Amino acid sequence: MHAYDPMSKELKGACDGAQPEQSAVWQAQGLTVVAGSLVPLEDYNYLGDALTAKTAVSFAADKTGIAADGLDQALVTVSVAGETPPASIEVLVGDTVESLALSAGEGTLDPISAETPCSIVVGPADTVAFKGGPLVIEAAE
Amino acid sequence: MSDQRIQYDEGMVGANHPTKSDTLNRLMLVEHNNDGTHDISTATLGHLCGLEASRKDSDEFYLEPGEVDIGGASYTATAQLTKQVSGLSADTWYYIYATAPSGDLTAGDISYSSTAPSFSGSKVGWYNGEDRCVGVFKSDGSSNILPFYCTGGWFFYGTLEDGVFLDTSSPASSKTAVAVGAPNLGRLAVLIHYYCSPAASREIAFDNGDSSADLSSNKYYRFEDIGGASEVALLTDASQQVNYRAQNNPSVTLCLRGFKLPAGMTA
Repeated sequence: MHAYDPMSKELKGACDGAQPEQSAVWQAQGLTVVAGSLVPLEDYNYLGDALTAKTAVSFAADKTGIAADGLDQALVTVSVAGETPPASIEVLVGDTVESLALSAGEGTLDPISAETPCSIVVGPADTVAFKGGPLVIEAAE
Repeated sequence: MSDQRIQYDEGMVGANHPTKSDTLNRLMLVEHNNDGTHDISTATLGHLCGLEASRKDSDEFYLEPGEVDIGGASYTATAQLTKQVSGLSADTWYYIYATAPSGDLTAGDISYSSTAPSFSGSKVGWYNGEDRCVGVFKSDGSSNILPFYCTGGWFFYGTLEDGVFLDTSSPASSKTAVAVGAPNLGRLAVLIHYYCSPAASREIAFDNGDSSADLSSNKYYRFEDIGGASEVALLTDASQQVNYRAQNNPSVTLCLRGFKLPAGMTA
């Protein structure tokens, strides 16, 4: 049995077999409950109102540690799996969403730098459609 | 029991005398049949020793050497048995049955069925017809035998993730019953592994399947300000359900690690 958000299409719950009381809980939360087998929540969504595997996206950096001097930079390459990858993807870089054009499923983000020590988390902005990451760049003095 | 030996002042009388009691065989007949075999109807009816099941591979399981009473007679498997299976349905519990053999128990006397047994009070064991249930296994989504071990009277999954029965980022905030995905053997003692995503004030609580409590006080299996995984032992109701409740919306994963095989199915 599956429960998904009818607005975002995010898979919010899965359980083994029919579970009437759990189904009532999910319906009370405004979720749509449908039949289905036990699957990992992080791997699927209900985009198109059918169980769909999330598209895998991977992040690779030339280095995961940079100097917090505003000059040192890390280059992050984004790869989207699948035979027909999208032309672009929105990537969350820290608190900023960056739209990245892809060529054959691959693209490189603008160089990442920091002027103060911090952790910069890089991952897909749309976690309903995509799975992968996060990649963390550590900026240190 | 009084002294059953023939005494010096008794006559020596054999079996079936028209008027006198049998004194010569009196001692031998204590808990024995007339042919000298053990009378298990009074001593060991329903006994089961060994025969613990475990997975060999995707389509075979083992039964360890052991002895079992089937319908009032005792049968022995003198060596480990290997049973081949085929035609399994996906995600289904199967019950392992032993049929009374003509000699020792062999793999040919072992069968499996998705039909659950019921407990026979007269035979003192779990039976489907004349076949005695000695264990269980479960198939996966591809109709293969899931890794499992029966040991010490417990069934355990070989892999933790195979026992997951609830995975949700929208858990119940009031007491809710969930079936733990155990076989249909009535009320069971179960070991539940749970994961709760970490955050202050988040909590999760459990209670047995028949509990009427709302799980909102410290009298229950309540874990506060938690993060990560732990385990709790519970008793299901007759439908293999337990109760849970989570506060402040953590992500929750509940997994059946194993369960105590019921009386009459334990070695």
